[in-house]
Amino acid sequence: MPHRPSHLLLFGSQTAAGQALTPQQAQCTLHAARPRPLLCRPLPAAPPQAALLSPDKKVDREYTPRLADAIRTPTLDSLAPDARLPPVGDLFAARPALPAYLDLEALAAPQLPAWDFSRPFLTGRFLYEAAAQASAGAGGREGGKRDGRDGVPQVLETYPPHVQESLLVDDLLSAFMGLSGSYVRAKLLEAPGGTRIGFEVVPQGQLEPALQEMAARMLPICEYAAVVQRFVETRRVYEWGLVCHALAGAMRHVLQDWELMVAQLEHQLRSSKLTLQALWYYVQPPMAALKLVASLAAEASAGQLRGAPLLDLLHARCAAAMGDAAAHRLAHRLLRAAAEPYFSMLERWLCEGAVDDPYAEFMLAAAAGAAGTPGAAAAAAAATAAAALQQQRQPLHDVPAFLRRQKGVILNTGKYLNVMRECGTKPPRTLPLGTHLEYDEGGKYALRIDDAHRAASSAAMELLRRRENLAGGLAALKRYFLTAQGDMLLHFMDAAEPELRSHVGAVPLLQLQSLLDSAVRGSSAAGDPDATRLAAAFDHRSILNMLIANQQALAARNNIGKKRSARESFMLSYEVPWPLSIAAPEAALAQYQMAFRHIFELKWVERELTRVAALFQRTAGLANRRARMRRASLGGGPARDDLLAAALAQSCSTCQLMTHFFRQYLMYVTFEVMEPLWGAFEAKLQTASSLDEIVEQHKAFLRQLMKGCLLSRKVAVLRTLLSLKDLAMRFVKVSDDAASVPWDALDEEVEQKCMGSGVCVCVRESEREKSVLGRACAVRGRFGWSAGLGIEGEARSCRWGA
Amino acid sequence: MPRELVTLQVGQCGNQVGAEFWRKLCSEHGINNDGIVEEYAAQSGDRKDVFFYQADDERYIPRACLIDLEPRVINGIQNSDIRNLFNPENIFLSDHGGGAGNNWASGYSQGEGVQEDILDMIDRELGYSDSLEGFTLCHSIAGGTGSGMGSWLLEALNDRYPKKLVQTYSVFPNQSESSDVVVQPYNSLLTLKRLTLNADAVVVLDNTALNRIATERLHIANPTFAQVNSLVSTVMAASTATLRYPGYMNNDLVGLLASLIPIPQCHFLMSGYTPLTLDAADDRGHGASSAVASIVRKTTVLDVMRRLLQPKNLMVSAGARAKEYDKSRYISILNIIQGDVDPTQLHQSLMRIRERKLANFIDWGPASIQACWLVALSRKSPFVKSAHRVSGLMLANHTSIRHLFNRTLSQFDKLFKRNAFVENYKEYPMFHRMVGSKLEADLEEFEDAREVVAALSEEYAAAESSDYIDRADGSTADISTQMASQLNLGGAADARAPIRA
Repeated sequence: MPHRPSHLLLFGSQTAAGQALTPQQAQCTLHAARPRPLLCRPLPAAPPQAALLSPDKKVDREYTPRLADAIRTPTLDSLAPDARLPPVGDLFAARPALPAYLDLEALAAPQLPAWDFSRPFLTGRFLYEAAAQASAGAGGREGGKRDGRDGVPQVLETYPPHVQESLLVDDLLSAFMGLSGSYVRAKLLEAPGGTRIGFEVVPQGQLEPALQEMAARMLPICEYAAVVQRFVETRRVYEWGLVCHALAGAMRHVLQDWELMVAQLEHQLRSSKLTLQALWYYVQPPMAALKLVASLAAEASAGQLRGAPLLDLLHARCAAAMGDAAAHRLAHRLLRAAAEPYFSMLERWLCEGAVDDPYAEFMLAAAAGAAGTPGAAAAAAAATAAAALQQQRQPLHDVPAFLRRQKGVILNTGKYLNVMRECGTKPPRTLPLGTHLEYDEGGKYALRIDDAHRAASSAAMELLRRRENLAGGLAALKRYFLTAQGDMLLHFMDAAEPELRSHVGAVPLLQLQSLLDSAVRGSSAAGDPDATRLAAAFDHRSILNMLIANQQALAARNNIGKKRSARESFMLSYEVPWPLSIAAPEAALAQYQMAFRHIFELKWVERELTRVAALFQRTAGLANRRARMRRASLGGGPARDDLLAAALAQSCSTCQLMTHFFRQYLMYVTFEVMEPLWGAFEAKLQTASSLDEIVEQHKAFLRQLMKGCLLSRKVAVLRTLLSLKDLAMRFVKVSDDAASVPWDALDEEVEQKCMGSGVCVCVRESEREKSVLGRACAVRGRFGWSAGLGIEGEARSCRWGA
Repeated sequence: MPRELVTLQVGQCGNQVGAEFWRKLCSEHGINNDGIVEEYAAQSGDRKDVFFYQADDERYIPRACLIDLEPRVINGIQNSDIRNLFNPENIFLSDHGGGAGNNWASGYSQGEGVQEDILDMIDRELGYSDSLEGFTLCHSIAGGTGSGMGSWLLEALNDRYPKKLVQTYSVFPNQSESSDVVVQPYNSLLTLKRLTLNADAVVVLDNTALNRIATERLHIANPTFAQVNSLVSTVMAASTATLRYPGYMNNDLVGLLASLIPIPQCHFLMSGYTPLTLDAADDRGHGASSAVASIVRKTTVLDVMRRLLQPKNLMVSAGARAKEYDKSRYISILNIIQGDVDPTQLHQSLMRIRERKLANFIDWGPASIQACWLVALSRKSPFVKSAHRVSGLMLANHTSIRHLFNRTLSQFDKLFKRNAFVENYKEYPMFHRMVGSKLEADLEEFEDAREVVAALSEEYAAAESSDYIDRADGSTADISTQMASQLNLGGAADARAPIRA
């Protein structure tokens, strides 16, 4: 049995009290006519029904607020003796169904033997069968049925009233224990919530009406007892899980107490001291308690609750019964008993980072293929938990309401412990020795959990900071994604230039990867072990789309971006080593990648502009020759030469303006955004007291970084910047086209003119066109520049305003 | 696969400066005089392979070619403490060892004569590098070898490796006093032509200013060559700092230069460095060690930037800069700030300098000071102890450099008017042609060079005016807009079509 002995001890003191009570003593107490027998003490003593319910009812009737249904506590309402139990679901079915979400295959819980279900007197199902028989008899063959049992009612009627009464009491007492008697019989009731068992006092009219009425008042108790019994019985099945088992155990205790009382009542009856009236007097307090337990059982059964939802139900009920001390005490006791296994799982998770959860009740998903043996299951669970941690994805089951606020904390605590175990260090003691986590209303467990979290977090952070060199690991991200390792990028651009220029579809990723590797080897990053984790990747979305979607790259596996060049889709990816990935999860990496793409693109533009500037540099000689030519007044008119000269000068200066703009932007990004932010972040890394703080700081760092790089939600400025970038790229293209005109030919032409020979018309023509192109570019460039100034100013103001 | 730079040291001055430069680089990278990395420098994250390559025996060999026509300086290097550093194959000495006799033409023609050997040497160096970015040439423009052979080398490099960058560190002669080389204006002018046409960037190191800095700033009464060269090597090392210590930006030379040079032929850069010390000189016992200490005690970014703007820290003669001071403008400035810098200070410093209007920029350039003023941050070498937290180098493209050219031009004119010393040049094939059987002086090369330098000076002067870019607008705006409307601007084919036809 999965019950734990500790659950049984919960009622230890009460049981001891019950044992201490010998029949004689009980008799004495009863003779002393104390208003409430000691017996009842284990069961919460409900206040008198009248006092409890009448005013409330009256209020209900006289004054019904609009939200009365919401306000009224269901407990009080359902405690009313005439109120029916909530629907019980399939509680009385042969085998109540387990919740559908439960994966029985994965659970692989042990099975009870088949005979356990086939013997009605072992499982309490005989009552159902008897009731079914009775109902069938009553409904179908009334006449034939009556024949067989005719004797009894007739006999009862023939007795004098006081004998009738003691017979009825006798029958009632047995019905109180969930047995169908001669005069008080079980029957099936078809209710909307499912088949249920009701009791009835056999035929009306045969009894004294007074007795009949009095007995009818006590009939719900029989039903309560039957429901609780059935609940306890059915929840033995392993799959229902530890919480259910524990609750069933606690309920069984209530039942035992109840049976003890019934036995004592019977003793009184045998001493012919118990009248129906006295019985009614005695059973009133336990009736409320049984009602509460039975309604809990019914609701749990109707909702097929187990694990955390069951705890939720208990917790809600406990909270709802806050005004009713006795009911609250009982509900609290049940809750504490039921939460016990849950808290011991929690304790293991908090202390060792292990998931010890054979029946999939804990908030963490257990191992997918947990083996049958408990040891292997635990190991596998730990392994999957660790694996799940790496992904930062923790499939969560429901968390009980009273732990919901601590959910993240609990999760992280175990995670940190696992981190430490993975790294081969001994996890610290997170809970003081001898602490036992249990449910209490004051929420002490929450404090304990927080303590454990603090201890685990600071220990894990020490580990990361000292042994795993957290700052160094994150610095690698900075080096590669924020391009602090500029030479590596430069080499990569050099080496992969043709690939980056072609369409993304035409470039195998492997090729880029090998180029990237060689760039890493060739640069000063060669000695850096982190560099081996770098990989090339493609992302077909534009930076704007990426910003808007801000999701993982996998989301967009479409062909939209296939027409882009490889450069536009290129990005780095980096496999963050395991313990560091806590501080730099995938989301952070995605942000780094976005920043990288942004900067890479701009760097490329800068590089292209520089290349064009170098092209123009080669025209230095040309300008001089022209000047000389002008001096010599040879060749064509001066106006044309001036045109060319002006165009060249404008192109050059435009090129320089653009280069300047992009360099200034890059400089702003690097020296005014990245470096200070990184410096601050690094300082915080050293002073942070917990891992969570680091994670938070990292997030904040990235947020500010993205904002500084114009990659925030407000894309207007970014859009302008990107259009400027396009403009620059157009300028580069036009310049390239112009430069592909062989300069030698121009040189020759100029030479020829110097020699006074004829003018080559074609070349002149091209020269003029080129000059015009240059001019147009220049004009655009100047326009772009003025826009660019605006951008830069805005970016700065963003930064400094923030 | 770094972007390597091959250093070519030509002539007496070039080799002296170069040797000093390599000493500096070695100390910054933690490489000892035999090319072996010190143990403390094994894991430093710098890029030694921009300037060095590793030989079979793990030694670091400088990517340098030492070229001279006379053996004195190179022999000196080979007998000094760094004799094992260089690859002996890369040392070129002419067979006769007679030098060029301060004659540009001699150097040039000797260079032509030995081009096989030298180009072989350079090709070999190229073979050692994966993706050569360019060449660095150290020379002076006054003497014979550095100027003449350097000029030839510039042309040859341009011819043979047209896509590679050529950056030169050119030492300009002392113009304020009469020089020991009489034909210095000739040599300078002829070299300037090549520097204008065949180099991508020229860092001007004015001997006049270097001497002045040594005496005024460092309080050395009679600065030795080694001390002055140490200044030069400091500038050279600092200007390559961003290449050697990779950071966010400016990791390639072409990027550095592209932003400095908006007008292709205007690529003569002034340099300045602060705070200046001569630590290296102390170590080796030259010079008065006590006098060398710098007076700067505290350095901040703003401070360094401001000092760099002061004329007295510039390595170009103050006389040239003072002339028409109001008109002269900065075309662009690059500050390389090394050391322990809080990046946020940069912006503030620039803003404050703008408030005080410490620098005049060209009117046709970008509107904000930020745009013309580029700042690169770089790490400092961890192995060189410096007294200062922050040090800065400025490379500036300033229009007043034209006065330097004008001065050369006027000195040249004085000599050339009288055809003085032309005889020395006439012997060489460039300056004579055969008319019949008789040699006749052909001085067109001189005139040509003068044209080029004059045009350059004009270009700088024109850049001072605010309508530099729009000069041609009035006359041709209508034509160009008309043509622009007819042309499909994106159409590459259109632009080329006439040539194919």
